[in-house]
Amino acid sequence: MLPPPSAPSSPTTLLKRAERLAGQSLQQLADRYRLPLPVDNKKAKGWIGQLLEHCLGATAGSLAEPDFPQLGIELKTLPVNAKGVPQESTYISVVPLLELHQMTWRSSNVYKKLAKVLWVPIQSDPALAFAARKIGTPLLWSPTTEQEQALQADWEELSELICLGQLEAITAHHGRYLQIRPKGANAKSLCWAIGPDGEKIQTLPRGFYLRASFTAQLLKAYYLFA
Amino acid sequence: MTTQKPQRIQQLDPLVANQIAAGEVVERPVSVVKELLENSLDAGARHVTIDLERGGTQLIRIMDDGRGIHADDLSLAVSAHATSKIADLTDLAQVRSFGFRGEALASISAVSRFTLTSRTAEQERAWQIQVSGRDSEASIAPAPHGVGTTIAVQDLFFNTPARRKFLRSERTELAHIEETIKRIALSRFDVGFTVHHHKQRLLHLRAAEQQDQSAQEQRVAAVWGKTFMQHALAFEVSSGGVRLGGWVGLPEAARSQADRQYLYINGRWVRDKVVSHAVRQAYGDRIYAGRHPSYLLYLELSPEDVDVNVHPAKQEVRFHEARQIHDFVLSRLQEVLAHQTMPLMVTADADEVGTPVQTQRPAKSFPKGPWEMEPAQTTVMQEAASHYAQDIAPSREKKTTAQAKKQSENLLTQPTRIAQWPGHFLLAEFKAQWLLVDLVQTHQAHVVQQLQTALNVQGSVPTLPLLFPATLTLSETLIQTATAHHERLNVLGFGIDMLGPDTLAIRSMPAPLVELAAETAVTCALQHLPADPKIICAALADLSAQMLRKTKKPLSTEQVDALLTDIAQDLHEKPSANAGCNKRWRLLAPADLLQLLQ
Repeated sequence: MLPPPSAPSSPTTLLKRAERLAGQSLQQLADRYRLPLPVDNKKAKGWIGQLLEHCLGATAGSLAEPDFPQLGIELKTLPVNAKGVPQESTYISVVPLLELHQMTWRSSNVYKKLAKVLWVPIQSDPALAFAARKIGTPLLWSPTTEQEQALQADWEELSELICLGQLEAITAHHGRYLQIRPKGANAKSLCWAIGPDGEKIQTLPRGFYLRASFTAQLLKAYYLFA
Repeated sequence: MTTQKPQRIQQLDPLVANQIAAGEVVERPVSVVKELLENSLDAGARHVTIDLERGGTQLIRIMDDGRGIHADDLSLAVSAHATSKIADLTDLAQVRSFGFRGEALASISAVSRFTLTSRTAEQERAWQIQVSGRDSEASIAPAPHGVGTTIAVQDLFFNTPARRKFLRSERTELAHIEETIKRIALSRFDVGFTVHHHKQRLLHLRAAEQQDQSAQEQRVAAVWGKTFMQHALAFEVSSGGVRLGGWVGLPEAARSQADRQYLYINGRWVRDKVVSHAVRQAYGDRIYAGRHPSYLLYLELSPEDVDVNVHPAKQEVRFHEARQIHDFVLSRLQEVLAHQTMPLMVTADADEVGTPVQTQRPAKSFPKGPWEMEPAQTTVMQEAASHYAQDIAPSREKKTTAQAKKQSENLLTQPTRIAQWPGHFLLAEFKAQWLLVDLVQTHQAHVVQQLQTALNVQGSVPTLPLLFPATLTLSETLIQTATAHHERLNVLGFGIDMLGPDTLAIRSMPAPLVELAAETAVTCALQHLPADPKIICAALADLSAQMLRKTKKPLSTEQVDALLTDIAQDLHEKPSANAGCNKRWRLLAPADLLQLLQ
């Protein structure tokens, strides 16, 4: 196994590194770093993320920090279909059900995660064999003023509902770009939250997700699309 | 079999309408007590005496020492929508008095035997008005009375048996009345209250001075019992124009019912989910599931930040910034409860009470300003952040802004689309003529113009990255050309890397060439190199047109719009552009169409 490169010293170094990966297939990368391809399809998504972290020199193992803590940059892979359109929402962070009331948008973990993102598109057309799927051209992105305003509005609406105990009323339909969905291995893993009367209740863990419509717009704005 | 006449619509008799409205205001004896007590408080009473008989169904008499009502206004006082509390809609936004709709006395007098005796300080004697239900005429006569007002409501619902049927037992009605009086008594420590039922004294509360905390706590103890007061924590906090104070019960004072949770917003007793939720959350695990905390809270904020006109009974409010209020109550109460190591007795000093938290300004001053707990928010993104996005993809953004600018500069008449054929022909209307457009040819000219303008003005063609880089295997000659003219390819908008002796990767493409497959475009450019960039541009545009005709892929709405703008521009600059030689589009006047048909 090839040792991973050291942590990138600047955003430019990181971007250059990611650009060199663009166009290569998962098989090519796995071969170069002598990493076994995943056998189980269910673990494939996580495997791609780990592969990229490895190739780009990401150091933060913990979930609270961005993947490149010294640069404040979060790495996000973005699976797209044959037409280059993202098909699924992107997980951003866990919903801190008990601490949300102490947060503002700018101090939220969602903002911290989305302030600077290195998006890496990944081919995931089901017709394409896993090993043949390619890494796309990276995009180092920060939300524009309009994008941030839209995300902030969603975040504030959702966190107000949670702070006021309306957690169970939140569905994936809330939020224009940002949504909240249950996140957990199964319906049995429970965590604590604040209920409708202010009392503590047990509920499913939730996560913040970025809708596919948002990432699709993002790609449309920065890449050549026929 | 009977045939019914169709029912016609008629205007309701005002007296009937009044009685219907009365049913909404006066539901049961407690509604009368509440309305009358609030009137007394709004009139500046210092002491109010309430006498009840048979749970209020037989008699409710409320006597106050307030300002009184002028004799001339007595009959107006019992007519609908008459009030001294607001004059117009602007006052509604600033309501500080209890009542404001001006329907209480009219409603009450419509469903009872009603007597109002009142005297203002200026009058020498008191006057009395009597009304017995909606049918009787009001009579006004002099009567003995001190300064203030006494209202006696006898035989409530004597003329509305339907409503009377819904009354519960005297005990229940009395319990409701007592609860309401307690709520009001705990909101106005500066007013004394005495309550009798069948001449038996139920409650006697002396007026307590604003600053006299121990007198206030005595009243709380008299109303809610000594146990609560022994396990309660007095506090007062304020932040950015919002003030919260009162007594929170320690976990020992928790109850099995949520009946001792009083919240006053700007002096008004309300039920509010936002605050009660925050309070319960602040207690957290200090209270067992199924138990309910006891608290007596007074929240003061600017009337503009809270809407009291939500519920007819005015027991519900709506905050304009619910989230901030919730956070404020939650965080401050958490602090207060965390300091519960110093239990505060009834006799506790005001100073000691205040130690864990900040000190206050007087309750009624509301400095305008942002919330303290919320850091100043700026929506402007950091420069660095927007810089990133521009680094990566400047072209698309620039393109659109340039277009927008161009359009706003010359507000030309745009052709209106009529129809589009699949084979890339478009029919539009332009200044009362038909405009026939060959979209492919026009698009080709447009692409050439875009590429050349970019070369002339910016020195290079804007480039857009491919989502996935394309790889291209080529002959040795072409690879050599690519290596030799790498710089020129960059200027044309091609981002190319050598991958091997016969392979190259295409990373980005000229933005105007969206129709062309990257491989085709690069091969075409390499075949023409080292020709002049203008020739290459023309060749690429030609290839793009061929591709469009071959694939029959329709142009996007934005692309067609851009073409129509181009045409309008051409026609504006040289109206003769339509003449003969132009094979891309043509304006057809009625005469042309006639000729075409012959």
